[in-house]
Order: sequence, then C-alpha cells, then structure tokens
Amino acid sequence: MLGWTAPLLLLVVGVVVGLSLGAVSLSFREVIDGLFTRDAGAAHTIVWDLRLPRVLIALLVGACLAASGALLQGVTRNPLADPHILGLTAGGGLAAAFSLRVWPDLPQHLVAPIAFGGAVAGAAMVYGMSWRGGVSPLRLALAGVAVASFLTAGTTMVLVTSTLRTQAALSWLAGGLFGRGWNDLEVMAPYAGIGLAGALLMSGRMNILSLGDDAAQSLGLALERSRLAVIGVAALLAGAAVSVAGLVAFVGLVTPHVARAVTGDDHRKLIPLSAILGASLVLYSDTLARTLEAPVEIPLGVITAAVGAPFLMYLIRSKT
Amino acid sequence: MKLHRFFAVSIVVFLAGALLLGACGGDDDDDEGGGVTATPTAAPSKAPSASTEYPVTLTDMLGRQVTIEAAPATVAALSPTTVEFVYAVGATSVTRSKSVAYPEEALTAEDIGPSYQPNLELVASKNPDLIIADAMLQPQLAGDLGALGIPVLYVGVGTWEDVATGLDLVGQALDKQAAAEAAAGELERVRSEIEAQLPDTGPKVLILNGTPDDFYSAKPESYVGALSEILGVTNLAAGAPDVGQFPGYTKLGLESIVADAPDVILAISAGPPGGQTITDALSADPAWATVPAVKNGRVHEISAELYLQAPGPRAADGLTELAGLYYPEVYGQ
Repeated sequence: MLGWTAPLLLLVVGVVVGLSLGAVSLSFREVIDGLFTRDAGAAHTIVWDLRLPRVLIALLVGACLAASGALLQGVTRNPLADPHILGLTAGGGLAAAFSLRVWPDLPQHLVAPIAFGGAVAGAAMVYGMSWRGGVSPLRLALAGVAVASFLTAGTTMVLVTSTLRTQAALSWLAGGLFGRGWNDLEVMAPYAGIGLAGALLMSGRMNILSLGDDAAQSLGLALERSRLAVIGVAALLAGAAVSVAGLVAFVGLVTPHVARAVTGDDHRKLIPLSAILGASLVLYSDTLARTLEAPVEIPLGVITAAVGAPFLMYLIRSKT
Repeated sequence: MKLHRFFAVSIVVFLAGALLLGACGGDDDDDEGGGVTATPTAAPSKAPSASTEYPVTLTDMLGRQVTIEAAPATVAALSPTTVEFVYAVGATSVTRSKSVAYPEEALTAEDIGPSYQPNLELVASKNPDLIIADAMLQPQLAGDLGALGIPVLYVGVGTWEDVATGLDLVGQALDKQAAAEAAAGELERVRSEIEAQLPDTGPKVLILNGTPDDFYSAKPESYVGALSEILGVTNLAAGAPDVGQFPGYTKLGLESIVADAPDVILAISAGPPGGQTITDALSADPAWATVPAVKNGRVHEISAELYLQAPGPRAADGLTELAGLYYPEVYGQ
C-alpha cells in the first residue's frame, strides 16, 4: 500500500496548488471563499469558473492518456506504444481539424464527439491495416506508426491551407487547456468515465495478454476479441483526452513506465497507478503552463515533454 | 493483399480530402475576408447624441444580442482595436492585450497577454461590467468569455464602414454617444475632404505584407486594401484568390508583378525591428529594377500597427497617409 500513498498525496497537493496559483495571485483565504461562497465576486469566478474546471479536466486528460498508454503498451507488448504514436490522437486531431476547416463556425461542443470519432477511426485504421487473419503485436505497432504519420500529415495539410481565423479555432490542437471550462468537462466526462472503468475491467485480461499469444491462448483467452476490446477502450480514452486538450504528447508514453517502475507488471495495479500519475503529470504541467510566463500561456505539450522526457531518460539509465 | 488494398484506399481517401480542401478554400474564405459583415445596429435616423437608456440591447458585430443592464463603470477591452474604440469615445479600459501601443494612457491598463489567448483570470480579477472583444480576432472565445457571466460586446474592423459601426456600438454601450458621433463625424469629414480633391485616375498599386522572402499581396477585401479602394487606386491583387493565413490577402508571382508594372508599392514588413524590410529587399533585387515603383523610388514602408494589428478609430490617419503616398502631387507628403 505504500506505493499508493505517495502518488495520491502528490495528486491532492497538485489540486491544492492548481487551485491556488494563477495569473492573479489570491490569498489562501480568497481561494477558499471563491470555492465555497457564491458572492465572493471575482474570486469566485476565478477559482470556481476558471481554475476548478481546468484542474478537473487536467486530471481526467492525464488519467485517460496514461491509462490508454498502459493498455496500448500491454497489447502491443511494445514499450514505445502510446496513443500519440499509434495514431489514435492523430485521428482525433485530423477529424477535428478537417471539420473546423470546412465549417469554421462549428460549435465547440460538437468538436469533442468529432475528435472522438476520429480517434476511433484512427484505431480502426490501425487495426484494419494490421489484420491478416489476426493481428500480431508487432504488426499492430508498425501499422500504428504508419497511420499516425499519415494522419499527422493530413492535419498539417489542413493547417497550412487554412486562414488565420481557422487556425485560431484550431489552436487547441497544439495541446493545451486554454479557456477550458465546465462545458468541456461535461462533454468529456462520460467518455472518460466509461473509458477508465473499461480500462480497469480490462486489467485482468491484460495480464494474460502480456504473457504472449501462445500462453494466453492455452489459458483460454479469446485473443482477437480481447485485443479488439483493449484497442477500443484505448481509443475511447484517447478520444476523450484529445477532444478537450488537443495533442498532448508524452503523457501516454512516459507515465506507464513510471508506474511500472513503482508497482511492477501487474496490470491490475499498473493501470490505476498510471491513471493517477498521469493525472498528476498533466495537472502540474498545466499549472506551470498557466503560471510560468503569465499572462502568456506556454503550450501544455511543451511542459509535459520537458517534464516527462528527462524522467524517462532517468528511468532508462537507472534500470539498465 | 488485403493490406495493400487497404493502404491504396486510404491514400485515395487522403488525396480526395486534400482536393476537397482546395475546392472549399475559395468560398469559406470569402466570408472571412470582407470585414465584419454584421448589420449596423444604429438606427440612422436617431436623434443626435441621445443618451443610452439602460437596460439596452445591442446587436454586436458578430450578430449577437447583448443586453447591458446599467451604464458600465468598468470596461475590459481585449485587443488593440477594441482598446482604441474605448478610448476614442472617451472611456478607459482596465485591460489591454500585449501588443497595444496606442493610446499611451492605455498602456497603464493590465496586460492580459496576446489577443488570441487573453488571460481570463486577469480579466475576471478586474470585475468588469462589460467585456469588449474583437470580432475579427476573438470570435472563437465567445463561449469562454460567456462563462464569466459578464456581458460581452463584439466589435471589429475589416473595412472603413466598420469603424463607424464600432464607434456607434461602443458609444451606445458606454453611454458615450456624443463622443462616438464626434469621432465618426471627424472620420467622414477627413474622408470627404480627401475625396473632394481625388484625381480621376489612380496609380496601379501593390500592397505587400510579410518578410522579404515570403510576402502576400493585400486585396481590396483586406483592411488596407479597403482604405486604398476609397482612394481610387487600381489594386493589382484584386480578383485573385485568397492565399495564406490572412483573409483578404493573396500571393502574386514575381513575373506577374513585373508584367503588371505597379506605380506604387507599399510594404508592411514582419519581423524584428531593425531587420531587413521588404522595401530594402526590393531595392536591392535586380529582378525588381524595371518595376516603375522601384525605378521611381515609390516603394514605401507603412505601419503594421495602423494597417494590420489595430485597424480602428485611427482609420482617418491611415487614409490621409495613403492619400499622400498615392498622390504626393495632390496631397503633399
């Protein structure tokens, strides 16, 4: 249980810090008032309407990306797999970019389901490309990389051919939580909730899958159906995250490795711990993104990469 | 084999998508280009300098209905154009975006970051009664701003006429109608004074924006192009399709520019101050040497602030400067 106290504490501290810091400096008293009293004026708007939903969204985005990464690394048995590299977020990004390009006045609440559909379509492309009477983990990983570069190229194409106004509408694609509020939380929460629950349900099966195809089959696991289910849940999680946060790199890749270093390969522990650590990573990164250069925001992906990459390097060096 | 077929199909889908993008490039840009096309709210026949009776409901320049309950004591403007509107009607803003440079008094207002990503915490911390957002730069923020529970009025400038519409809206919203009408009247006075002396034929003009290596030409649909249309010039970029990020701009090849022989070239150079400008580059490049504008020294650098970043109440300054550059013999320099 010791392995859980520290990550949970980190998360709680992150929430407190995230609510307390911002471009406007508020005393602790004002933060509490803003949180619990409606007539606290600007403090209420700042803490309740601006900071709290953003903190909650950061938690969910991080949890979704990390859980998705843990699932994908397990199912492909490839340590480099993550929703970004395997084309899931790229599919979501392209779908959203394309719709905004064709229909610049697209209401924000429709962007989320479209991005989600794109993530699922990306997953279907990866799965379809690697199917040859069955998918092998290696083909899955390679097809993922191919589909991801293909879809990313499409997104770049949409971006360079659009006007400044469309580009502004697409700025969330670069990764970040600027301007995210309660509406966005409402849109993403169901997808995220179902996805995270699905990931937990899948964790027992993940342990069997990670033994290798022969062993899993001899234990009576329906290999293809399980793989499809895992990829489906991973796509759901990636779609939920990309729909509000755009393309946030590194979280899905790094966090499962950190979790594995703490808890080992048992997916029943690995997946929830990945989700908790991912939530913390995105929350701390977003707090930095908001405050470091305030009032200018730093793109979230820059921070997650800057925090995540050295940590991964450290893990690689210390384990081998 | 299935894999090959799948791959082929996805490539076809991809290319079809790219073609579709190219095809719809034309029409969605058209409605982005020509300024803010909302109908002006101001009833033209209203009594001069009426004062605003609150609550007042205005149709802003995104076509939204905005109700303001009482005369706003604190106003937060979020872009260079909107800040200038507020000061032009004699009010003050508690916020400004990073790039605001005019008027000087506005520099003491809280810097809320870049116009495309204003920091909403800082806006909320000022407890404004009214937010004035930019209809050209910030329409995508409508949802986020609405969440603050403060009325949001959108104004923006893409054409000469938009300036009067914006002044009128801001004047009504802030109960500064007399000042707004005076400012709009001054604009019209300057314009008719210039128009009274306008020669029958104008020069062939090219207005460039960008870096020396990569520049775009302003069409009549851009703001600087719209001001130039008033002055009766022949804009060599007219009728070309929109190209590049900025609506109302296109890209003309060097060959067609040389063939069209512009009499005047104006340039808005991007990049660090003190760096090489488009004007420098044109004068040094032998390919441009035969162009009349270059030969006769009629290549001029114009202000990015006045013509690109902060179109708005200073439109008359812009019009006067352009008139001088296009017709130095009539309007002097």
